[in-house]
Amino acid sequence: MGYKTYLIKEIIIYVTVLIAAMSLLYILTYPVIQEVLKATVQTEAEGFKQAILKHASGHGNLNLTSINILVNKYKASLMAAYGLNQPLYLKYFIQMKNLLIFNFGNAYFLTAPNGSHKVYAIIAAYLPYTIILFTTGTIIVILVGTLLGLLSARYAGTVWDKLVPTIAVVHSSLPTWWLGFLLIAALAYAIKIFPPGGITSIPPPKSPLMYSINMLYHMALPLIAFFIVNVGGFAYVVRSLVISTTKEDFVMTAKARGLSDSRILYRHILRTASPSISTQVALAIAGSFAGGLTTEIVFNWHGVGWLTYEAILLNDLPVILGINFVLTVILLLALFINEMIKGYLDPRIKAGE
Amino acid sequence: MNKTVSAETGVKLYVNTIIKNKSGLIGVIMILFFVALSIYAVTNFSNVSHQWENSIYWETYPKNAMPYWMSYFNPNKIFATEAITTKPSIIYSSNTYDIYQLNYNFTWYKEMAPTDVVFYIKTNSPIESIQILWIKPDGTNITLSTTSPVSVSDLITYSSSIDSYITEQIGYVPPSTTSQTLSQALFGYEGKGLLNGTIEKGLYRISITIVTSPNTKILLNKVYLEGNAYGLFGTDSYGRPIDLGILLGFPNALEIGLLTSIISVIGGVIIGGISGFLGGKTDSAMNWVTLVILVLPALPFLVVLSYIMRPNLILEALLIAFLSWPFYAIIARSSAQSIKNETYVEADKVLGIPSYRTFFTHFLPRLTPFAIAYTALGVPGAIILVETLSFLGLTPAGLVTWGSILNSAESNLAAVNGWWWWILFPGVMIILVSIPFVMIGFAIEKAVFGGK
Repeated sequence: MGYKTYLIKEIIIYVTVLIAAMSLLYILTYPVIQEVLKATVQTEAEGFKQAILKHASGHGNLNLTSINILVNKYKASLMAAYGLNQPLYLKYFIQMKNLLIFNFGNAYFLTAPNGSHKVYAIIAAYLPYTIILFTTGTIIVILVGTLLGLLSARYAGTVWDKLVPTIAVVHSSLPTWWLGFLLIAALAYAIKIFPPGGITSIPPPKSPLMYSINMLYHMALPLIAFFIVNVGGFAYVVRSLVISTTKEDFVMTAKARGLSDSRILYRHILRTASPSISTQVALAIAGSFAGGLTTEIVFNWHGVGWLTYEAILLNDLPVILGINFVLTVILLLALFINEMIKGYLDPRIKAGE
Repeated sequence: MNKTVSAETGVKLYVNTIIKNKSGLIGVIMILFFVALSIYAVTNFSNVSHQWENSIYWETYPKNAMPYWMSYFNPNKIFATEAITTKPSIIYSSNTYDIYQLNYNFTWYKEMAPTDVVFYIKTNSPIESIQILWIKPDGTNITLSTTSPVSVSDLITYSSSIDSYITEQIGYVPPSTTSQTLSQALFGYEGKGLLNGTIEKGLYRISITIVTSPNTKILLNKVYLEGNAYGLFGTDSYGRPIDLGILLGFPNALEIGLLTSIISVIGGVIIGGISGFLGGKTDSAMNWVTLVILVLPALPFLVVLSYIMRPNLILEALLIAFLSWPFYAIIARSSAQSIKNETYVEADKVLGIPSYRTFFTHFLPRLTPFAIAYTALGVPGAIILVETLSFLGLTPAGLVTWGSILNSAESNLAAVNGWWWWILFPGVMIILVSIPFVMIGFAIEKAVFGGK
């Protein structure tokens, strides 16, 4: 079994996992989805009727009965497209197909900035802001966290070593949104250093350069909150991975060869531990998109987290379901890519063991 | 070897491990203290939690008051509510109506007027009319009256009387009628400077005349001079004391945190342990199931489910556990895999001992310390998740949680208005409750896995 077989096997696993996860979501939300779809059909049919009436009033060659027949026909075709008149198993297959082609239906109330009611268009408009904020945050956390973890593992028994478990306690007990809330009260209202929220000032600056600077200024406070909460946890993971690698025989061998501590740490230990660290990185980035929901709300950062909250407040279920699907796909992709890289790096898989 | 193993798995050893470790001992003491607080809250204040959303219940409390201990820094400007009471005297009685008079005297020497004045008169039948004569130390007076008399009234109830008094004195209609300005009018010097912030000091007299139907009794009467400081942690915009809310949040936080953590760790360890122990096709299948749950985005998924199901506390705990067991299953699986390669497992195989017995004698005892450590470490995560859901407004019905207190802080713009106590203390409680569990978890982890 070579890398290709491994790849195919993994693809099959991940695709089936995606379908299974979505089936689970579907079963748990089945009653609500039916309601959602019926409402969507109703609004679309209503829109169709209005359009015909508008058209007919110009020409005057259509009577009300024939319009109603047309609307009912249109409604029936929509019902068929969403599978509402189908038996349960067919409904399920149609819903799965719709999900897989990112057809989540129409939002009830929310619209994309360009005015579209399509759920995928709305999510596509908000997702980039989430990615910008949390990818930046995660990268900073990874860089500083890895550094702290390495320092802590290297200088065991010193202040560095004590520091990491202490800030790891903070990580496990501090909600980011609350820290954000507190930081806003302190640094945006009591002492006016940072803006209290939003992506840019209103109105946003015109030139691209000023726009990015303005956006960075608005990102500062959420990034600080994200950093404080997450850096300890990541450093702790790195520290544990490095310490457990230190116990391996090859480290002893390297020591016996008289290599310097830093050379052993960076060349031998870090290289061996890096696949595990990269798994953590992949999970951290993908997970932060979903986990940042409340942080976005507190900072009024208009990403998918904020969108989810708006959708809840407005009872806009198609949007909520669509977001869940997209986030699941992102997490699966991260895991899959990570698995691929690991498989590529692992000589045992290449050799077909 | 076997002897040390059996000792290692004993409950006594865990207790010893935790207590010997300094941070573990602190953790245990903290948790015992929190449990005591929870029991105190459940036994004494369970009726209060039903009244939490009922704003009328909190009417006599000061609104947005800061913690009382702040008054040590500036006692003349930061002070608590004063309540005065008197003996009602009946001044007229007939078979059509009764007239009561209530006379109150109090002295005021503070630099600020009270934030509000609340009149509380509890009678056994409705009050028909109420008139209040407010006499300042220099003898000037105001008459307050209202068209719809109620048993609990504050200055806003009499705003039309006070507003016309202010207009009469300063010559124009006041820009805003908050209870603060109305109160200032009752405590300031008459004239143009009524609202400029100076306070008339000395003996104030209040004379309340009420008309009731015959044979009415006045059960309770009080006048509250509302302060701007209250209790240990202050009050919110509805007058609800934050310290009480925090106390009511303790049992919920502990209950849901422990319940969720125990269910998810036990589930995860059993599934992961069996999966790693059996290996082969069963392992692949169980691993696949684990992955399915793992990829569900926990927070948005929980939000959707809480929104649809509106769960009670137990169901919410089960939902969170359902989404968190895969993390423990993955770790338990890899532990089980490494145990599998030990010589004693192979010895069992050679000796023909059935595999289920090997599982119970060798695998489960070695997975137990792991399970206990992760149960402790999982509690804070579960608590934070529940508080997060409450912060989003998805609190199980009838419960007071710290997240829901913070939710109302956000919707009432506590950050903008500088009501820091409303934001700070509930959040600090989330941290304080989480910390001992993390410390105990780390202590067990260190003792069992050697730490470094």
